[in-house]
Amino acid sequence: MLKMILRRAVELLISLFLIASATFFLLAAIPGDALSAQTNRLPEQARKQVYKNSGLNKPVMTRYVITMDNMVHGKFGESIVTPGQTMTKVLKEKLPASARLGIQQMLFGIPLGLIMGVLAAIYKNHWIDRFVTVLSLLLMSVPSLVIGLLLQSYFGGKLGWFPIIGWPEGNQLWWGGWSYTILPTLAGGIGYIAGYARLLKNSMLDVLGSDYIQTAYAKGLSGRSVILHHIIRNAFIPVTTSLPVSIAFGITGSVFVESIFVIPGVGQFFVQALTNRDVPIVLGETVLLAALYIVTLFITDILYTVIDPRIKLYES
Amino acid sequence: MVKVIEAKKLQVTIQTNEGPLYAVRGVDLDLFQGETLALVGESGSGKSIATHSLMGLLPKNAKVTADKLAFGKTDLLNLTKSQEQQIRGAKISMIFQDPLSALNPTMRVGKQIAEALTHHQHISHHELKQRVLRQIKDVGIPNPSQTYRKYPHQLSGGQRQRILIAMALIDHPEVLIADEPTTALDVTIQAQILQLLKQQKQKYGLSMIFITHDMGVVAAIADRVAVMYAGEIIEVGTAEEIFYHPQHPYTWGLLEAVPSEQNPDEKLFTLPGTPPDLKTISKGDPFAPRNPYALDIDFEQKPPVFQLSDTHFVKSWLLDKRTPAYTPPETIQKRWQTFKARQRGRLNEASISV
Repeated sequence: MLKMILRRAVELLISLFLIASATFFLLAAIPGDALSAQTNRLPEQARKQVYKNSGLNKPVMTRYVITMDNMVHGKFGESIVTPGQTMTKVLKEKLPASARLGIQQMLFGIPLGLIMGVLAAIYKNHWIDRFVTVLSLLLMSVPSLVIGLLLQSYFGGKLGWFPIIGWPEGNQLWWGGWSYTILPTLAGGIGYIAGYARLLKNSMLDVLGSDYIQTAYAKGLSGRSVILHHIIRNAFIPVTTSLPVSIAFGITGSVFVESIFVIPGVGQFFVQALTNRDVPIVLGETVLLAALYIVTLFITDILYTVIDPRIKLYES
Repeated sequence: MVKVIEAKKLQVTIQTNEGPLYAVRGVDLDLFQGETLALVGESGSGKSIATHSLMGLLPKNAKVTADKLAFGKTDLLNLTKSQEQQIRGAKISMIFQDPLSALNPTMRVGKQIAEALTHHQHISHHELKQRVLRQIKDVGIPNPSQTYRKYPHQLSGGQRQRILIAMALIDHPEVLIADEPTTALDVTIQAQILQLLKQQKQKYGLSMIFITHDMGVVAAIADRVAVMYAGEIIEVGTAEEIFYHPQHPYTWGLLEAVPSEQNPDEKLFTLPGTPPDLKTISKGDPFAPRNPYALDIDFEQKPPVFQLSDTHFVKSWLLDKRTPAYTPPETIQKRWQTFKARQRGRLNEASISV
């Protein structure tokens, strides 16, 4: 097991290096850079000076080596567009809000989606199934942005139950200030309900049609014990596959929900960094997302072996 | 003889998106205590569906009707869900074609066997495990306690089928429905499994319905044989009657399609054509278009049942008095001769004993 973790750690580092390099060169290859928008009206000499100060005048390969060297030492560098802003500060100040929002959305949406998926599969062609199918289709087609605005105007504005914008800060960063978090959690969590309900319903139906379910009924088991002991566990295998993606993207923020609820998260910040070609921040974001993804992937690999005995992580 | 299962005019219709599919069309079927009845026919002839209807294992879109469908004195047509569950596994059990897909991949086989018992009986954990271990040993798997903890993918094909048999028989059912249990296995394992089934049948006095399309397997195991075509039983008789005195041209075709040991180089006989579409009901005999012996009336009217002996029944116009003389294929004629010789031998034996 320890050997396995070590091997995965090495793989993680190699992947991060490759991903960071690819991101760096892709950013270098597209036209424009972080300073071109600000400096195109400056006189030639002033512009050169600005470029020189930021180091963007150096050749690509030199910049690459410097960037990588810094990254190895854990430094992503200062934002070119917003001076003073660094990845370390972003992680400390902006990530908690996004992470809490993402975690709350997933804790609300995924279990609810799974329950609805189970019900829809059990009551196939019953009104419950139709209700779940229509609802998840509807929720999937309406973007979280629209849902967020509707929630704001109804529960925030008309009923006045919850604050329309804002997010808990200070010592309530991780715990407390719940009334602020409810609407954003609903707005983003609904997407998880729709996705996971559909996913689990389909995989349950796959399992329902398999031979061993017939065997289970032929043994004289009741519908309830067939579902509990034979269907659920096997139907969860595909769900495990989608979890790492959800977790990685959930934690690193959602642009729409963060912007309409004015949440000081990383989502919008990262998108701005990308449109501004703010290399240090984009690289930092990419590495963060990739690392999160790879780590959750490893955790789900372990989960797989728990759920499905046919899968082994290593030869014993 | 005691009838364990009795079906009269059994019909199964499956509602599909393209309209009703008449899978089983009026089957009369009896299973006598202690016998093995082989149900043979091509894929799609309705043999699986007919037997699954006995256990209520058909999908929701299937409709079962019958004049009578009984297990002993129990009417199988109007059972509540819990009554159905009390019969499944405890009175009528089933084993399946592909033992790998018929076992839950994520559950230890010992637990899967135990489940068949816990649902019908309340017994202590310890006793349950002992019974499962005994059962695993009983179906010929060495070191039961190791096997108990294994998952299906860790066992061989033959072992998996043994596990399914153990699961089906642990509650000592009266009837075992074996749905092509040897089709997915290689020949040596096939023989072992057939041997095991025979032995278990004797031990527990089981009555068995054995579904197959392999006439070799039929010869090895069956007391009686029912031949199905397009949802109907077209010929039924003792194994001897079906093998040595077959009357229906379809049965002839099935027998001729078996490779013979005498002439290994001979080209195999194949039945021309394909089975009929089960969504339509033809006016005449559904086999007529593929039947080289078809008479004009075969296309007009369904043949009635002709009885040749106490046990031998055939649905074919060939047996009508008005049918002109015909000669069956050569190999079938040889079989008839063997049958006659055997009959004579038996008569002589009988006269001697008298």
